Amino acid sequence: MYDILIRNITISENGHEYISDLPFMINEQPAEGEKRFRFNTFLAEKGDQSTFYGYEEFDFSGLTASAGLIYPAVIKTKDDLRKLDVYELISSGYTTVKINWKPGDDEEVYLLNLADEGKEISMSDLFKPGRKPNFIFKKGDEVVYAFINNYLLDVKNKSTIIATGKK
Amino acid sequence: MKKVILLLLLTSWIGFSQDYKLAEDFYFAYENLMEETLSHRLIKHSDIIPLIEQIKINKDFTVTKVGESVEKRDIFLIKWGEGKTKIFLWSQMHGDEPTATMALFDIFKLLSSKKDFKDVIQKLREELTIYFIPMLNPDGAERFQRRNVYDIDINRDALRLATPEAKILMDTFDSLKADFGFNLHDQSSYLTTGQTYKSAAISFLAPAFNFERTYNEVRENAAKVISIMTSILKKYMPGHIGKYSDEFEPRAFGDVFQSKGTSTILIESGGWKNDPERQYVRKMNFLAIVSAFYSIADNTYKEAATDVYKNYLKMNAICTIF
Repeated sequence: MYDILIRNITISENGHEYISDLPFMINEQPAEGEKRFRFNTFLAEKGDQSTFYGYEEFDFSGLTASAGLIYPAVIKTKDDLRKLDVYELISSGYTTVKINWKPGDDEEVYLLNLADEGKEISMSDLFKPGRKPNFIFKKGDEVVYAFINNYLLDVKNKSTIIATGKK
Repeated sequence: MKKVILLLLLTSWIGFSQDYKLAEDFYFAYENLMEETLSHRLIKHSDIIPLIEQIKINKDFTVTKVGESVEKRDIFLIKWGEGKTKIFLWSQMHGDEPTATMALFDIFKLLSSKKDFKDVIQKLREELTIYFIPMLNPDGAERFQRRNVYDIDINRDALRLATPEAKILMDTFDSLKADFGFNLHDQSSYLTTGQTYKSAAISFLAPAFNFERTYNEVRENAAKVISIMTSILKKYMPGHIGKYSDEFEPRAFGDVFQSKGTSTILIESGGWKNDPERQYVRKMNFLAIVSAFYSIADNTYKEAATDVYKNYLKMNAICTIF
C-alpha cells in the first residue's frame, strides 16, 4: 500500500521515454516543540506496481512526466514572490524559483519549490526513488498536472488535488 | 439430543445478537462518550496526567503509581471493577504508537458514566476486575519514537528486563495473574489485509508461546475473543481487519505472557483512508475492547469459533522494499 499511486505514466528523462507507475509515500516527523507533524512526500519505487494499491490513485495514461524547470529570474522580496502567478509559471513548466533569502517556515505552504539563490540545484535523476516530487505532467504540449513537494496540482483548473499538511 | 443442540445454537446466537446490538449502540453513542481532550497522535505524558488526576478522585477507580520511566515520568496502574475475572491492558510501550492510549481514556470515561449504559457497566463491574497501564513508554511518547530512552525496544526486553519500563510491566503482570491480557500497538499504514487494496486498519494477534505455534486452552481463548472482536468490527470496516504474524518471539511480552497462562491478545491500529490521526481507528479500538469485555463478562466468548481468527482473517501484507 502506498499513500499516492500514479499509474501508467510515460516518463521522459535524459532523452529516454518509458512507461512506469509512480508510487509515493509520505514521511512524517513531529515538528520541534509543536504538536503537529511535518510531511515529506517521496518517490517510493518505480516500474510496474499493478499488484499494489494506493490510498489515492490516479490513472495518468497518455500523459508524459518530465522534470520541472527552474525559473530564470531570482526573486528578491517576499512581496515579489507573492505577486508571481504560480499556476501561470507551472503552465510554462517552471516548478522551482530561486530566492535571495533563506526559505523559512512560511514558505512550507508555498506551492512552488523555493531554492536558495546561492545553492546549486540538481535537476537530474528526479525520477530516482527517494527523491521528492518535482514533476510536470503534459498532455501533448500542455501542462495539465504538476507534483511539487507535498502538492499534486491540477494546473488547468488551478486547484490542489492533494495538499498534504497544508494549513 | 437434536433439541439440545438447537437450544445451544439458539442461545449462542442470541448472545451474539445482543453483542452486535450493544456494539451498534456504542458506535452511535461514541462521540458523546469519548475523551475529547485527546485528539491527535502527538499526545504526551503531560496530556494524560490531568485526566489521571480526575480518575483518582473517582472512587470507582484505584490509581497506583507502579514506577517511573528512565526520565522519571510516573507510570500508573488503574484498577476498576469488583469481579473475579481479571483483565490487564497496557498501551504505548512503543512511544510512537498512541492510538490505543486515546481509546483507553475513552473507556475510562465510559466506565465513569453515571447515566449511559448503566446495565452494561454494572454487569462489567460485577464480573470483571480490569487493570490498565496507559502509556507505558512516556519518554518515547515525548519524542514520538518507538524505543525507550536507552533506544531499547521494550517489546524485545521481556526476558532481560534491562529497561525500567519492561520491569514495571513484568512486575505488574506477575502481581496480577490476569485471565486476559491486551497488548496495544500501532502498525504501519502501508499494510494491507492480504494482497488486497484494503488497508489493515486493525490487526489482531494471539501470540504463540512456542516455536511450533501450537494452541493450548490459553491461546485458544485469546483466539476466541479475537473472533468476537472481528465479528463486531467487520460491520464497520469490512475487509480491513488483518492478522499479525504469529512467529514466536521469546523476547516479546505477548509471547511470554501467553506462555505464563494469561490469554493474551495484540491489537494493532493501522491505516484508514483520510484518517491521519487515526481517530476512526481509535473508535474501532474502543468498540473492540468494550465488546471483548462484555463477551468475557457474560462468557459468550467461550462459544466463539476460533476459525475466524485462524482461517478467516488474512495476514498483513506489505508491498515495498521498506
